[in-house]
Amino acid sequence: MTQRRRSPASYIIFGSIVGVLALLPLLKLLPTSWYAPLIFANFFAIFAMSWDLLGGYAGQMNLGHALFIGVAAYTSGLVSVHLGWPPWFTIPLGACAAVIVGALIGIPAIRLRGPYLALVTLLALIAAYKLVLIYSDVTEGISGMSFSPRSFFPPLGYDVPLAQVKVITYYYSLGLMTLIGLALLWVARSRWGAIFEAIRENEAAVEAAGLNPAKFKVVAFMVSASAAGLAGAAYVHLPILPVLQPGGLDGVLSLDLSLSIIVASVVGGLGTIIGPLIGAYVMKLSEQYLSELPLHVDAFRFLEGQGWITLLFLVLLIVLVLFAPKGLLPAFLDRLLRRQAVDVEIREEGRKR
Amino acid sequence: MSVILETRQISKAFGGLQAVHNLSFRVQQGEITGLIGPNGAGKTTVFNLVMGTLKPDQGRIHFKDRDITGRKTYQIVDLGIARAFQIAQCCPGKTIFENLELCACSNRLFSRSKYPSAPILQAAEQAGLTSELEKLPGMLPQAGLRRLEIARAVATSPDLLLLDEPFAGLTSGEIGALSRMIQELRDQGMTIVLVDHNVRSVMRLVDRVLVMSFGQLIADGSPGKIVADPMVQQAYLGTDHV
Ligand SMILES: Nc1ncnc2c1ncn2[C@@H]1O[C@H](COP(=O)(O)OP(=O)(O)OP(=O)(O)O)[C@@H](O)[C@H]1O
Ligand SMILES: [Mg+2]
Repeated sequence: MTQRRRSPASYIIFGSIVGVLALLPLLKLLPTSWYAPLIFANFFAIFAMSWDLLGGYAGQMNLGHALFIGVAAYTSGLVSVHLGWPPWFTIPLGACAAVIVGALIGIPAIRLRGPYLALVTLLALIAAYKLVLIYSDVTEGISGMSFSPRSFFPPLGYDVPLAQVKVITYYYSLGLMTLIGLALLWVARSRWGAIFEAIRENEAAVEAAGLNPAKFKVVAFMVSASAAGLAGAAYVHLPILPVLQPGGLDGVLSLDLSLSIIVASVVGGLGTIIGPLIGAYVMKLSEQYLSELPLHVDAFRFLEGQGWITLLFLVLLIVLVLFAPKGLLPAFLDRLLRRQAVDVEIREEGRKR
Repeated sequence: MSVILETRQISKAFGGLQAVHNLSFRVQQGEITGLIGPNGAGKTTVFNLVMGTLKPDQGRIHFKDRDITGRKTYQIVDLGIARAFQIAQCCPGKTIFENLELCACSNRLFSRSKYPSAPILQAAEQAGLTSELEKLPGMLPQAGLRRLEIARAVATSPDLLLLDEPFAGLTSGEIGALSRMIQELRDQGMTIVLVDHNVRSVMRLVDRVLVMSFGQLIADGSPGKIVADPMVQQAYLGTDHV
């Protein structure tokens, strides 16, 4: 018996978003200053979607998602810089490191609930950050490591014109987002995804159903970490971002990054993959828009510097959690994405019996 | 006839309270066994011990000649025991169908057949939930939730089904319907242990009765024999019950 269990709405929305993003450079709609933020938005979307699989689906409150990103980024970056290995090898290596760390964080999650697990994920991130500072003779600490064109991926050296580098990097990052996004969407809608959701809703019911929640929790951590890690490792090898640093604006181990991932996911709508994807783009693009405002309008001078914008989003998050805890996606969209109808075929089969 | 479940001298204490004390009993394959006793006698605790929710302080539990003492709940479910709680343990955000699907799906990480639909549809059919498959559990009335809880247990394709107070809070019509469902499950080959305070309904259904009081077994026999047992009457039944 074939079963079409879930509506294709998620895939249709995902495809439309990718389509629009792919068209932007072709239609020459993008000012050059918007390439870098959009490239980061593509990665940020992966971060948010991968967080959603763990936080939104499995209900495992991970406050330190940047740990997976940072571990992968540093593994890949250190091996690349110190051993000179090529990025096509070090990027998957970084993702593997993230999966291992994901499993290690997943093990305490078997026992820990709610605030205790959140605390562990937060402390693990801070510990990793401190490690980078302690070993600053290899990691170059807070100021970060620089890459040579040999470590660039896509492999674009200094001789390629910057405008071209931006367009190629944009499509590369969009391609990566598309692949990882589809993979996450597929997992979320698979048997694993159904079990993750059930763990969030009622762990006792999962055990009573003959399923081992511990095993599937660790799997959720590993899948989430692999996606975030792959993106994190790829991110540090970009030709337009030649510095790998733990904190600060582009910090791969920063608390700011972890929090903004959660903000984007909650704004978009938890447990839908598509919601956090939309949330990520809305957040990054409005950030870029707001950061350009003071250049054009005097009244918005106060927005200069990132601090205000982050604050604005945090306030938005608080308002949202209070008034629309399901996220900004309207209720009908949520219905389309998650509350899919059971296939007619099954119903008819049921009546026949 | 063979023994499907056997407890050997199991004990469980909560602090100073001996909830189950040196309890040994056998459940015959293919029978409906009633387990009755006053409030706090330890019936639910026995279910918790069998299902691995609690570990016995002493004693062993055997299922189909296999020692299952100390195993995890999901392993025990996998071996073929399922329990229906009095309060439905379901996922409120999933449809009835998805809830049943979860019970039927494999615990293996990679499994070729994702959702075996036959046990799901059969469990739904038997529980009279076929037309409600798309509903959320919250939309069901009390009796419907009870049926869902039993259907969830049945969907795991168990050989032994433990039912904890399935009749509580139901009307006599609903109890009749549920009794027929339980009989139907037995006729299919399922072994059933039934705990309920509605002694009249239990006696009508069961092949054998176990009576517990203060954590111990005080009687074991056919319904007719149990009703006549003076010790049981004193401990539990009284005159107004039967
Ligand atoms: N987890 C627990 N912690 C402490 N005491 C418990 C626990 N579970 C049960 N008890 C106690 O053990 C005794 C037996 O309880 P149990 O729930 O097994 O009785 P029961 O026969 O199911 O009663 P009822 O008919 O009221 O459901 C009771 O005194 C109860 O208070
Ligand atoms: Mg009880």
